[in-house]
Amino acid sequence: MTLQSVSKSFGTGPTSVVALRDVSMTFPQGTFTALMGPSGSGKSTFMHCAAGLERPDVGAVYLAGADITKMSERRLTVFRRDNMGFVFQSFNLLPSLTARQNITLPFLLNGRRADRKWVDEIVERMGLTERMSHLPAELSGGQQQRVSIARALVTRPQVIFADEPTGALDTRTGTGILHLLRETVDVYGRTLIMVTHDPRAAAYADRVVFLVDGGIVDEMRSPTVERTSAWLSRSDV
Amino acid sequence: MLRLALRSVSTRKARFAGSLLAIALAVTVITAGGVLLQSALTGDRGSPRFDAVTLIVTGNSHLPVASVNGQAIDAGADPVGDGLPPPRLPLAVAKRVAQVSGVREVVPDVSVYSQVVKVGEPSSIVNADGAMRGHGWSSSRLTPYRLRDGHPPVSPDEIVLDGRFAARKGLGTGDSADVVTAVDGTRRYRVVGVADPATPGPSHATAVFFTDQTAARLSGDPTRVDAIAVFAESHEDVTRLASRVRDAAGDGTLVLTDTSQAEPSADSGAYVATTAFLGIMSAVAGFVAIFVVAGTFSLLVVQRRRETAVLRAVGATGGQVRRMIAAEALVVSAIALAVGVPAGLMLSRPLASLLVTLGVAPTGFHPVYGAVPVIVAAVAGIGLTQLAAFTAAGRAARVRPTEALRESAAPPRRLSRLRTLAGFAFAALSAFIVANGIATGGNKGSGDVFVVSFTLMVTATLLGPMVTARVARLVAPLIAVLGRGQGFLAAANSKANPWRIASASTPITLAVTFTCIMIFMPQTVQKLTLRESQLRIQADHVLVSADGQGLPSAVTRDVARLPGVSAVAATTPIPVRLGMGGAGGPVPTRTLMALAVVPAQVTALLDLDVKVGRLSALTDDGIAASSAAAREHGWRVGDRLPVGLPDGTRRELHLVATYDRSLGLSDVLVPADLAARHAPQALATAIYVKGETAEGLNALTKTHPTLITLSRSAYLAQMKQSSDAQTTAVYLFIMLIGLYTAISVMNMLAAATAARAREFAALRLAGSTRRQVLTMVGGEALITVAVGVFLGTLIAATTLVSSSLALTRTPVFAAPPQVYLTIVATAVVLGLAATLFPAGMAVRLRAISVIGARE
Ligand SMILES: Nc1ncnc2c1ncn2[C@@H]1O[C@H](COP(=O)(O)OP(=O)(O)OP(=O)(O)O)[C@@H](O)[C@H]1O
Ligand SMILES: [Mg+2]
Repeated sequence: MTLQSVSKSFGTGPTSVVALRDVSMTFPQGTFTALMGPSGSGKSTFMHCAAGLERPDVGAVYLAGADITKMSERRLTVFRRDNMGFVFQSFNLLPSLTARQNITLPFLLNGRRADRKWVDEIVERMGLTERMSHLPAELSGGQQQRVSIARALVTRPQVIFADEPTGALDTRTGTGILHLLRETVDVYGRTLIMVTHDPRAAAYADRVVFLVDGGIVDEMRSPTVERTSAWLSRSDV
Repeated sequence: MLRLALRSVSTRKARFAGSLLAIALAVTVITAGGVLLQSALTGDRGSPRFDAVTLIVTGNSHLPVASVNGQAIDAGADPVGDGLPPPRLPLAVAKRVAQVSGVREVVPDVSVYSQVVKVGEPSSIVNADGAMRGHGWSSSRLTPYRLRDGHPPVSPDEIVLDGRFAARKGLGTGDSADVVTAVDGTRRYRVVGVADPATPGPSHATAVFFTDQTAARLSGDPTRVDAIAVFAESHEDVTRLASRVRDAAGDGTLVLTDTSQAEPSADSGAYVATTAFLGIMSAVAGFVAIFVVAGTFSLLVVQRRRETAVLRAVGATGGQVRRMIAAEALVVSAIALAVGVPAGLMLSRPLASLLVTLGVAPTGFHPVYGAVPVIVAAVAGIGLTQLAAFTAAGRAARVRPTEALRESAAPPRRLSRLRTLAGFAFAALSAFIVANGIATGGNKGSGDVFVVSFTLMVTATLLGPMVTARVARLVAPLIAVLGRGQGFLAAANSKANPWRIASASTPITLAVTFTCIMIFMPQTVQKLTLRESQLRIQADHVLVSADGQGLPSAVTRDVARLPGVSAVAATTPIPVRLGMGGAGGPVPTRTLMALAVVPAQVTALLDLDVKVGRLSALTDDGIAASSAAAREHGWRVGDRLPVGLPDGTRRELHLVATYDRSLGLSDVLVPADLAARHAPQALATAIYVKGETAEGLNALTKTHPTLITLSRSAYLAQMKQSSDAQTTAVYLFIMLIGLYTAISVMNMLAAATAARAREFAALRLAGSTRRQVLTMVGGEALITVAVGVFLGTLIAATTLVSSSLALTRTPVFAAPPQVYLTIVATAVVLGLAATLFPAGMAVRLRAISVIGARE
């Protein structure tokens, strides 16, 4: 996945905010990238543009050889359904559907039959086998987040986006989730892009990209908790 | 999609219960309304008087009166004329029909007003159950009537009475009875027999039989008959015979194989009134249903914004979201149908008896169950919900997936351009309707103006949020009095979220509008009529008939002879057929009830406020019209109008005057001489008298048993009373529709409030007491109700003022303050209860558990 000179601003006139300025970045297949930066620096906007949820003002976003910024709303939706998965900070499950139905929701929307073996494998890996017929309200936060990850994986997307996936979880549960996310890259070869504020979470990534005021200011390979923490305290002025 | 929808409906029973209730109620109302309307439309079985006859030949009331520019005048639907007996036929037609092969026998039939009164009975208890009709004895075979006692009338002073009537009045063979007729006035007869119809039933008009000669004389014109009954030879093919009879009878006649349609039945007027009443009520209820169902769905969609965003983020296309909502609507409406249709069918029986009890419907009125109302309800129920879902889903499909990712999803702040445009278009349409209706004037103009309440309602709904934000700003300082913090919060919420207030206030606007119009419109018409009558009537006494049919001309003659009487004027309604509309193009012919008057008399006793021409010129071939009717049809003083008279004669009359004060009188006046020649059976509805002669008048009631004498003030008071009776029925049905609206209002407000549980929890966690939260919610509810009452009052007032302007050129309308305040108070109580109750439930929950539960 590649972003080319992407810019995005919100609003017009005096209240206008530039959220992204001329950002270019490539995410090679099978890598895990963490996006970090102070609040309001444009991390979420970056991710939304990359996922085609928000249209950039200028610039292009390529995935599987196609420029998704040029697609019609409908085509983009279908493309996103097949090629991207999402894990959000708040778990965003449909309250009326059971865990299994939430996981297979993309198939329901596709009108395709779910690949049972694949679903069962993911469910087992997420440790959700016992919880499949429960409604979201009957699941803990960690379990709900695992359902979201399972849903993101189920269509075998090329890229998975995660916006602060551990933000609402305690450290131990969060660690479990991060292990699972790492596995999606190592075992299934997915490309993972994760927004986080937590240096411990960033340490699971292959590299960390730092955003400040809508621009990429630095990049760090093989991050550790200490190095990212140090970087953050430096720029957090 | 259907599976997802089913799932969604079944797990969120509570949320869907509200819309289910709203739609089920709508279906119930539509089903019940449909059944009753169909029952009223098909309830009139016609007259059973010719049951024994093969064919009936009558005059044709649908003949055009003239042609314009060589084009035949269209003689289409004629609401007044269709309820009247057909024009009379020359006796010669009977002779021609008798010659037709296959005809065994023809019987000329006469039917005349003949009120039988027991000798000495005071006028106050004279038969009030409708017109009694008199016929020649040979007509008794047409039903047939069978003699129970005595013998047929042979000499001119002998009559045979209807069995039920005779029993009720305690009359029998050998007794004497007075009979009031148009031609004779009152005359004494001997009862020589009692007869009953072979198959009795409630639809028989009360009959009295004279000798054939007497009946012919009483009809005023023995050369004409009301109908010709044809008995066929046995084994004769009725259709073929009918066509042969048609050829023989010639132009201006109708040959009917369905003999029940030959004359209006005893109940036909009542059925027409019932149909009109139910038609208006169903239209209003249907309109309310549309708004309620639409409102319910848009609320449902707003509540699920976040969920929709998740679906969109996961990859649902706009179309899929739309289809899912449509599928949910289908599931809900299917359940609603299963509940609402049986409920509506069950409700129609008590409603029918209620209508009968209230006197709106005739005694025989009962629900007729058929497929049509059920199909209409089903189509309307599913169609309405689909339409509502479609508009709501359009909004849902535009929900952006990023809303799922951001914590607080902001609802759209601005009206879409299309909606704004449509809103202004409806506003412009409303202005046009008002201007046009006032320009047209008269009954037609004021009827046209009524539509503006609907278009303004639509305008208010479309532009609601815009109006709401402004009204909220106006009302906010008042609400702030509730307490600084909470009042501020309530006002801020209302300003920031005008959509919520707007959609919640829509049903209140609707309820206030319709309640005000339905109650105040008849009162306004009554007030205007009374006002015009007061100005018009210059008489000291007004004489009316006890049986509601009218007074014979003999009464006028006798009153004129009384000492002390300085002036007498009778107003005698006769049906005239007139070409409507201006010159050029095909013109529909319609029947109007014209009043026959003597010009010199009427100018002395009625101040009609003549605008153009002179009433004294209303002689010979003159005609006068109300200014409103003249304006509507493009008539000018001096024009020659083609007119069809009750005996079938066509004449050209010229317009000699137009007058303004027509309300409660008539739109057309014709000279009394003309009426006497062409409608000898006509009776006077009122006789106006000037002079000091109360005793003389009272003495006349001895000789004229149907006569009631009233002083001017008593007459005006009676006028007020008779319209009150109708108002009761309207009140009751308004209350039913109001109940329906109230349930819907409660439902929507409750759903809107319950959906805010999270917000209330956040307030509680921020340190608000329960009381404070409730005060805030109450403040918002007050703003909602204020917006609804304000808009509703505005729309109702606009409609009422425009209608009065159209009718009488004065902006007067009747709205008793206590009634209006009751309506407003009900709206406030309902609005507050519907908001505070669910809010109270919501804040009783522990705040943290609400915040913890996602969505
Ligand atoms: N829909 C929007 N309308 C207006 N401004 C927006 C919108 N979305 C984001 N912004 C602005 O763009 C800038 C970047 O926002 P973004 O959400 O990308 O930040 P972030 O890095 O994700 O912050 P955080 O770490 O707090 O989530 C901010 O200044 C924000 O106010
Ligand atoms: Mg963010």
